[in-house]
Amino acid sequence: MSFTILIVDDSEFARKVLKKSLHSFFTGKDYALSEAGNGEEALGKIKESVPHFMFLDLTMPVMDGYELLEELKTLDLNIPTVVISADIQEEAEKKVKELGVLGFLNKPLNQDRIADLLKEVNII
Amino acid sequence: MNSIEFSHEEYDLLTELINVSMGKSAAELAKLFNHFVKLKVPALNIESSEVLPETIIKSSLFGELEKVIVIQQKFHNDYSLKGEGAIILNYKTRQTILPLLELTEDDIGSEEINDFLLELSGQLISSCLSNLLMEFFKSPTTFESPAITSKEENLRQVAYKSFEFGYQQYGDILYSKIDFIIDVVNFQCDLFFFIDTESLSHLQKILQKILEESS
Repeated sequence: MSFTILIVDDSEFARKVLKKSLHSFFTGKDYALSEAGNGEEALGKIKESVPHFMFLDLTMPVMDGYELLEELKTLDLNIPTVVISADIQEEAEKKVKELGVLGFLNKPLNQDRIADLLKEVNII
Repeated sequence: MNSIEFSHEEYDLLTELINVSMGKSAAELAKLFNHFVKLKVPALNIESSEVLPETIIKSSLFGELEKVIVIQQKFHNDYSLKGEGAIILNYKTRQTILPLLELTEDDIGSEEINDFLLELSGQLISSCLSNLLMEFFKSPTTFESPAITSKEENLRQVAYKSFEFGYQQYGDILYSKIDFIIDVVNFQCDLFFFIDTESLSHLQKILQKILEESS
């Protein structure tokens, strides 16, 4: 069974950069990526099939990252999640950690930092 | 039809870069007020300068008949990019500044508040744009002094007077709008920035280069 990863970010560019990095980390491994452009779209995909892991942006249209995390909490769905956000306020990190996220990375994305964090949470 | 069109990918990349820059400005604002700043996705579009006033009215956080304060600041980068930033805030927000300056309602007319607003706006505009423009240009961006260009008019009057006249010469303009909201202290402001037609092709070439390098 593939290790499934959901990337939730309204920026196609950010998703592309992240996919490229993940591809290099997971080459030769059985994994599957899916994408969503906002929290609502992500929720639809999660209801169809709960991913093993999720990368989540915070500032998005329609339903933002905080709202998605709240909704998942209400549904009692515990998906290991790393937040990737341009919001560098300490409060933002504190808020999402209270909602159960494993890690917080600031944008712009950097391949080494993604790798370090994924190692830290035992994904690679 | 605009004289220059950005592709979907170019808009997406520029929005993401603005997003990263506004995150840094928000962190500075959060430190100042000691409260969390709520961020929304920035708006971005290329429009004719003729329709810009209506865009400002529609996209502002404030009502079109609400009295607002406008602070504008011009910038350029080695003549390859030229534009202007503008902060719009209302009088309620102006009052939220009082405790920060240890002033009371009796001091509401104080020049100190205007000085502080100029300083704050200058910081927000320049920190956001400096971060953004560093992604594009190696040379630093030059910012002129910010100036309060309106404090007695409503948003509709301001949108037509302060912006339409200033941009008639430009034709198409890239505009972006960012909201900074601190619910706890009722702080709200719009940050608009405008980049002129001539600068758009420089910007587009750089965006295309970044996109090529990322594929």
